[in-house]
Amino acid sequence: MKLNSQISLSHASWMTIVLLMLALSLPALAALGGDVSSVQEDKAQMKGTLKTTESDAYTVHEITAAGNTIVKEYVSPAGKVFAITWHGQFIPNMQQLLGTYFDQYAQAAKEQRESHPGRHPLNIQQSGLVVQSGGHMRSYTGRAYVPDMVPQGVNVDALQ
Amino acid sequence: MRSFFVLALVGSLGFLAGCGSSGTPAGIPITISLSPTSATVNANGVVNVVATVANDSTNAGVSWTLSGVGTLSNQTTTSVTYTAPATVTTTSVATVVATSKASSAVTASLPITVSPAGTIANVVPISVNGGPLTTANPPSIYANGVFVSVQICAPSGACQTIPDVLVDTGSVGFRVLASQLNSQVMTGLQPFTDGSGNTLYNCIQFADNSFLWGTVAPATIVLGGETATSTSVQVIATPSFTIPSGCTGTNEDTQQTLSANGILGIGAEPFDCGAACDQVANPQGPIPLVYYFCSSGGTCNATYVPCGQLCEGQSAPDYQVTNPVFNFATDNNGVIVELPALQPAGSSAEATVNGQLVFGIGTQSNNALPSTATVLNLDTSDSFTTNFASQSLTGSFIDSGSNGLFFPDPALAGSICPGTDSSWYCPTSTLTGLSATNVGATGSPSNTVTFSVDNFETVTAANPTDAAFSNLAGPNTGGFDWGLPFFYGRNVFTAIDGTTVGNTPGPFFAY
Repeated sequence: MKLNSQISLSHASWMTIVLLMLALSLPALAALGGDVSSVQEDKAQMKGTLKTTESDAYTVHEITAAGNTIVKEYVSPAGKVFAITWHGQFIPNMQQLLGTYFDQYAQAAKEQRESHPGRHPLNIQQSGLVVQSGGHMRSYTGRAYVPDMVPQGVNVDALQ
Repeated sequence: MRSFFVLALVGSLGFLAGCGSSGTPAGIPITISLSPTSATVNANGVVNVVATVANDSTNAGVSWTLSGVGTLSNQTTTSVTYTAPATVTTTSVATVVATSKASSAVTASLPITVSPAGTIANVVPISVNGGPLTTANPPSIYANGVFVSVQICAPSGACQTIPDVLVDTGSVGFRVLASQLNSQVMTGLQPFTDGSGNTLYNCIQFADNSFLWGTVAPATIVLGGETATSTSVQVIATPSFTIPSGCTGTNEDTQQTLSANGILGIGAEPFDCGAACDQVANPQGPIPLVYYFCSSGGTCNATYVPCGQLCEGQSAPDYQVTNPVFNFATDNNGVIVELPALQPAGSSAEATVNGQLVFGIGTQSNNALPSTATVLNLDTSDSFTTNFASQSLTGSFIDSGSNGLFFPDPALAGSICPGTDSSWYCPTSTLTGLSATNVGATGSPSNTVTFSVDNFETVTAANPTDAAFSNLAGPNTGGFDWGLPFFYGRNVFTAIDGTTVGNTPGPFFAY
């Protein structure tokens, strides 16, 4: 078991290098809703380390970034990042992680704030995008997913 | 290569701040140190100040000036006597400044807090009053925001009292809008630099996708009779250059967007970033995107910033944005937020709620931790566990800066408010008798709290001029966020990491 995980990690490292080299010559790809290759973009941007685990329903790419902030990107059998979770001292770069969904997210957050002033955790619940973000300085937790992309049988509320 | 560059920058920062001089001729710069380094007096109070001048080959000593109330007497080139006025009606700060006679660019200053006789030094009033936009056109009320006035003094001696500052036990450090500062204070607040023309900036991102960007400058913070000297604060202002891409979201750099004039972060930590941003404590990196050195042209590089003995385990300066309470001379181990229950009893909304913020825990006759209090010890994320609706929520915390109670509840999944109110619950009728049990991170003690959930849209629409709401709640991922409604009718203690209350180490929450 241990040997296996070492082999897969080492494999992941090689893949990281290869994909990173590829990524440097390609335009940045979105993470949420994007292809599996976008995970490498995120890892490079966050100067993080990457660990990959697989289950029947999805593959989890776990990136550990500054302040031990852990970002998990959930990739469906179709090869798409359908959900992202984070937990740690810092909020990860949402523009990088949400990619093409970032503008929708930022606009929704801004509209909430403008309709009622006040600081609180965020729950954005739209048909094409759900983002939940909470915590306090030095400990933040959150989750973002695209409802239409979630593989059948996966309970997104259980993703942490 | 990169790490060497950063090391050099931080090294320069330490050197500059350590000698406190600029514009002196080449050679060993003159320095002045004053004793005492801070003082608090009542009417007619006297402070004898002594200056020690180093590296002054002419032995010319210093001349003295005073800004603020009081008088100077018995002036010599190494000492002076400060006397407070005979009548003092409000607390203010007088600053004694010593200027080198050999090099007028070299100065040192001593802030003296002058308070009326009988002032209870460790208490300031706070108010849930809707915040600064209550009088705007159109008016905009900050529901469940608790506000305080904070006096800030620049090293030059210029002081200003800033009203409508949000009291936030969920963050750390004083952050103030530059647009609210008068020109004397603004000019007097000199940001840290690296000696190569780069200025130190701070980026703080919040869970609601907002961020604050601004320079980091040492200041004196006065709250009641308590004074924090040489304390780094964030001066919020949008620069002439593009803010680095690592600092994303909604920039809250105006009173309109911040809904406050500043944030007083008095949470359970001494520093806003701590060890992760300190090169000695975290030599492996990566450098968090919290502090940057930026050139005037807008070239910004993330940098480490030291946070003192607690972070490095050895003598070191602290330049990180720091909890002002931690830097008080006394009453510096935490705070108590004291707000009464809404009136009349059982109300779910009230126009304003007035209370007080008390400094120190177990340090004075007015801030004892009762033996009956529930003292919740915390994990490394400053969180405890809340058991609620068959869920064990390990990331739970108490936060005066959250304006509702926020928790995951499968039974309320269908009661999320529509549209732009989706961060709130809108049950068809008020839910009463809900209960949750708070448990210390080590598994004990535990305490059960009961609460109610109003329909957010109904209760705020029915009470359009009210600022305090006891039953506002919304969904959350992770833990139970016990925001301001939890504080009504309770004295809530927040003890700071690295300090102790009697034999109990911080951090903890208690009530």
